[in-house]
Amino acid sequence: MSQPRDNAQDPWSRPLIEQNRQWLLAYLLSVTGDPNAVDDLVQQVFLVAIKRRADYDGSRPLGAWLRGIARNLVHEYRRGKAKSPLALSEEALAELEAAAQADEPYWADQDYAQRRLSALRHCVQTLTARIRTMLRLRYWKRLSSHAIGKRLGLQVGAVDMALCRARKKLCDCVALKMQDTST
Amino acid sequence: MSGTHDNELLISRHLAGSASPRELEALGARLEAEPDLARTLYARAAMERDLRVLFKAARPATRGSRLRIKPSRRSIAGTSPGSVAIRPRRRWWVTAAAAAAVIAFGILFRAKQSPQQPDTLAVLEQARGKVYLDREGAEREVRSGHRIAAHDTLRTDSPDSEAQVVYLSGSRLTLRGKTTLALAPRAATDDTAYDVHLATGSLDAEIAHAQAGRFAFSTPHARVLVTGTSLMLDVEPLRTRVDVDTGHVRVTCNASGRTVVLAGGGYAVVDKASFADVRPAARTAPAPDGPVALYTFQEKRGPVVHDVSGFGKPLDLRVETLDGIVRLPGGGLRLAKDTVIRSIRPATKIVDACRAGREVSVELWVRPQPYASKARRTHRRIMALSSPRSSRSDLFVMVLRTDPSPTYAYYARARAELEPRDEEVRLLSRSEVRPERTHIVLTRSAAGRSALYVNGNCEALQDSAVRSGFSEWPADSYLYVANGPLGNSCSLGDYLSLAVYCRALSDEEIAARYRAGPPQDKGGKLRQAVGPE
Repeated sequence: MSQPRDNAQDPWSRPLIEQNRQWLLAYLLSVTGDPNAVDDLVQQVFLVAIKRRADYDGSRPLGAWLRGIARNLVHEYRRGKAKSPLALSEEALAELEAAAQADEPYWADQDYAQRRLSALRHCVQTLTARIRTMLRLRYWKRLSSHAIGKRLGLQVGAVDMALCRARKKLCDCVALKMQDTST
Repeated sequence: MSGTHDNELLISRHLAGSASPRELEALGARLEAEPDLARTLYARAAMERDLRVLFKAARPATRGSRLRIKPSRRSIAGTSPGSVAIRPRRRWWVTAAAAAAVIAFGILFRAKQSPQQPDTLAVLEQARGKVYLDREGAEREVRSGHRIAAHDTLRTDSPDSEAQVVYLSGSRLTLRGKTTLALAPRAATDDTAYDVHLATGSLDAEIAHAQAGRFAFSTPHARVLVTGTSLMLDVEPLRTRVDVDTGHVRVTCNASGRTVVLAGGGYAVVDKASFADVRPAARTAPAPDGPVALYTFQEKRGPVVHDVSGFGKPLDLRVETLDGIVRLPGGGLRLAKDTVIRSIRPATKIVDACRAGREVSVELWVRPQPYASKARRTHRRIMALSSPRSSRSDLFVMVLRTDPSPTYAYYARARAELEPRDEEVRLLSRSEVRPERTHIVLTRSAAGRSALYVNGNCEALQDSAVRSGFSEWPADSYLYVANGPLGNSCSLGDYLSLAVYCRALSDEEIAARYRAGPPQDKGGKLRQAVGPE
């Protein structure tokens, strides 16, 4: 568990910030759906946390405290958006926080990130060449679905659907591989 | 397309930032209806993060852009006209020199503008209404995010104004109404100890633990030294009142020099000559049989809804936006537009009182209008006691819910301890919500039994594995009416009364209260206020 008392003396050490950064990234991306804003938001969470460290009760989980800060920042972010963002109910937001909370302990293992990436690399190799090309164009070249479609002669909807299926397949594959490595 | 694939596609487009408003609305509605979908969303977001990391390692450094140039001007012999890919020469030193010049100019300009920029002491985190800052005799209006330095004076100028000042040390001051406040370090040699002068108005203070003993307030009548606490100060022309929520403070009368120490729940009133009234600590009186908080919405104007229970320090509510609010003749609020109604301070008195008896009941008279809003929502909150810091800190919530039925039903959740979410009590009424005057009661007994009553009838009953203890109820929980901490689940309609009891009302009591009707039927004088029948 990523709590300062488990990580010895400094609750603001680089490894501890890094392990909390990972689940915060996923949580904030799922709430905002804005890949461009997520890195800034995560950074803001830690800035606020360090600024308000006097308020932090060391006997409580650090992750829960960070989630509280992230939640407030998300409210500010949503208020500042001209385009209406995803409207999440209290219940849905609570479920997302619960998912982040469940994910949090895994990152305390310093090898976890590497093992996960290695599993993902292997899983990507199991996809068809065409899907791998799409992934490369999306994440390496950072092209939009429209641009990918134009290059591969596909409709935007077909690109979105193919990428969506690929992500689901990768999720399942990585989960299976991580299960294998942990047992 | 199947529902699952549809959900996956919506999530995929949301995470790519390419979802349309209609798709976002659809995804929001599905997340409400299917709580498990949130976990899928999180898993896909985690995959998106990992894919970005995986491909980031292989991403090339920024390349020269491909330019499309007109052949008439720069066509090159031997190349086809129309589109020519060229790589512009990198004049990095030009960019670097320009950037350096801009930065230098900025620094010089700033230095010239404010040769002696004072050090920041605190930040104005939130400002509602007009907030003015006086620095060296020059007053101007400021907004949230403004930095406050030593010797600045802050002023809020209307009864609806509110300003939150957060010190870099973490302490937080909230100014309410017409308030004037001057901030200063206590001594030039010690910038970690603070003096705050409150000339007039009302102030809530939450002092960080690290600042215990280093924070002092002065008023025209008294000096208040804080030894780690949260407290409230009211300064009027003839007196100062200090209310302590938690911790200890030392109050010294300016005129007589006498000092008293106050603990949580204590208060002192100081006038120009001496202490007019002092209660050093909260009386450990048991919770009354009557309500510990009661709202009959009799106010004729203004954003404040008064707690008329007569128990402890009044826990008043504040209506965030008055737009779309109608006062009903005889009492009651009609909400025609979304708003948030929240207690002005944490509901400590409810939490503390109910901990002793380990029971709670919430009674509401409402006329709900769930179909009046154009926004499609499966959950609409009627009331909640929850912490704004975390959505998992809902202690009890009453909701209008359309899922799984297409029509709205009453739904309630209750937690005594912070038990896991899947173990908390969830009650769904049999009868559907109608736009008529309705009596709703949620009770939770010390034995762990929760029940939901609609118009005097028990419609849902559940026993919790966790016996009521309430010991882990967060102290920073607020009471919400018609909405929740996020402010996105407003339930429109008429609100006639709300009462919170620290005991589980019996079936007979609830039936009798239903038969007696809401307080508006008795000219606003509520029978419940005098205790059980």
